[in-house]
Amino acid sequence: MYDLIGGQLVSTAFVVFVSGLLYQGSRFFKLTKKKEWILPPLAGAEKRVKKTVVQYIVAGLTSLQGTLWKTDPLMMIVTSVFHVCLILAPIFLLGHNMLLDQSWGLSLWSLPESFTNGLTIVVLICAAFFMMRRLFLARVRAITSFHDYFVLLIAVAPFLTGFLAYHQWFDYRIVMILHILAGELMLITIPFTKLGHMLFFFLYRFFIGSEYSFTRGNRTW
Amino acid sequence: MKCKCIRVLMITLATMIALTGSVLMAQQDKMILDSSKVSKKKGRSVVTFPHYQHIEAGLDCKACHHVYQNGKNVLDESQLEEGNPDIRCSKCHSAKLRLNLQQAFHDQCIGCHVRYQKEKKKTGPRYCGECHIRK
Ligand code: HEC
Ligand code: HEC
Ligand code: HEC
Ligand code: HEC
Ligand code: HEM
Ligand code: HEM
Repeated sequence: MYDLIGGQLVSTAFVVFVSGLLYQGSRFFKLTKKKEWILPPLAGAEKRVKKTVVQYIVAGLTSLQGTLWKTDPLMMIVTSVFHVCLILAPIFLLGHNMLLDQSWGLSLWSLPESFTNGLTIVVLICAAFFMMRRLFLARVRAITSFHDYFVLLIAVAPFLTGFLAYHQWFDYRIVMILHILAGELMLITIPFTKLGHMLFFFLYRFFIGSEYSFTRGNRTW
Repeated sequence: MKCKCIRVLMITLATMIALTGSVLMAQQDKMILDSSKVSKKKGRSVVTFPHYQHIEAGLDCKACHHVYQNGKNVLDESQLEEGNPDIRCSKCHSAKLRLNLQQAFHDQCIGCHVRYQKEKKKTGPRYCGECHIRK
């Protein structure tokens, strides 16, 4: 049982994860290759004025007014903290890096285990917040479907089971099997569900951003 | 006369049983491995190592104990005695060697368990919590 789940299936999950993201990335460009319209470049936008450092900072802060920071600051904070912990905890986890070292002979440096355990707790609390929001805020519930809960569950499961394993609550071997399965499920589903925003966030963010600034209305993607 | 013989026999027998028994007991004793004095305490519990069970499983002493010379294991097995400080892993595996004490333990224990698992043989644990058992 351990054999298959902890061996071959792990490699399979990583292969699906990486090639899935590559496939979705290439599909993204293929689907948008055909340009529907061509706009004349915007006539030389307004002259650039030299700003002082203070003006730059003020301008930057003002632009935050148009973002989530203005409409829902609590959500902005929670989601930022959530994502930072979500990325840091598994990558710099001693347990993961030791297994990596054992099987591939390479590993990153690791954070102290009590610290990564703290990060895990933060992820779990933030996830509970998202869950409550979807359950109890009318305007969020209105646009929530089963898929959203499902994806949230997939994202949380490795953290919940990892936490239980670290504390050796319940039967360790069973929890460990569940943890590995949960991790593999997450890696495999990332490219094919909305968890793919891990890749698409950056594509959207920078291509749309550049469309409205550097390239003056020309779609480059 | 006859009585004495039986008594001597009984005493010898009892002593022999007691002796072999105590040797077996000592070997069956699980060994506590603790590197926390060397590697600044990192919060993992000490490991209970069933030394005897490994010998029972048919492993060669030299699979674990070694003295390397020119890449060869030249350990003299008569050195393997209880209380000999020279056979402790910590004797050689300090921060100076390629593998520090923690790495020496992990590479040897988990390395072998994983190898045996790949060969589909009966094997030992691989994931943290099965060796570092919380009290
Ligand atoms: C699976 C690996 C393994 C095998 C096989 C093995 N040992 Fe050990 N042995 C160890 C470890 C690990 C220690 C602990 C060393 C330490 O504490 O630094 C140890 C410690 C010892 C000690 C020291 C005990 C003490 O308390 O001082 C003796 C003696 C010993 N082994 C003898 C043997 C003999 C004899 C054999 C072969 C019949 C053998 N070992 C096979 C791993 C092994
Ligand atoms: C007499 C000194 C000495 C003792 C005692 C010793 N080692 Fe080593 N060990 C070495 C040397 C030297 C190397 C080779 C280091 C290198 O490759 O850089 C080595 C290599 C290793 C390796 C790498 C794989 C291999 O076998 O070549 C492991 C794992 C290891 N030791 C574990 C242990 C464990 C566990 C113990 C205690 C049971 C132990 N060592 C006791 C000196 C020692
Ligand atoms: C050379 C191979 C080898 C090395 C080295 C080795 N083991 Fe094992 N280990 C085994 C095998 C084989 C078994 C299964 C034995 C059995 O159950 O009969 C086992 C079983 C175990 C078990 C489970 C015992 C049980 O009750 O099921 C533990 C715990 C364990 N090993 C700990 C360790 C630790 C700690 C070390 C390092 C100090 C270590 N092993 C080094 C081969 C190895
Ligand atoms: C086969 C048994 C085994 C497994 C599995 C194992 N370890 Fe260990 N570990 C040891 C032994 C033996 C030592 C050295 C003795 C000690 O200090 O407990 C050790 C030492 C450590 C130490 C240093 C001890 C301290 O507090 O200073 C840390 C940290 C550690 N292990 C973490 C892990 C993590 C994380 C995993 C999971 C990937 C893991 N170990 C899996 C046997 C094991
Ligand atoms: C796919 C294969 C995976 C394997 C084999 C694996 C293995 C492990 C192991 C051995 C531990 C240590 C348990 C202990 O301390 O006893 C652990 C903990 C943990 N894992 Fe994984 N893992 C995998 C995937 C993932 C993924 C994809 C994530 C999340 C993105 C994840 C998140 C965590 C976390 C957060 C912990 C630590 C929890 C804590 O310390 O409180 N794991 N994992
Ligand atoms: C790598 C860079 C990533 C970026 C830039 C990013 C960005 C975002 C953004 C902008 C949102 C929308 C705001 C929100 O609803 O919180 C979001 C939501 C979310 N992200 Fe990410 N994300 C990343 C990676 C990941 C990964 C790897 C996972 C887990 C597998 C993940 C899980 C989630 C979840 C579950 C939500 C929705 C929370 C809810 O239910 O509302 N994210 N992310």
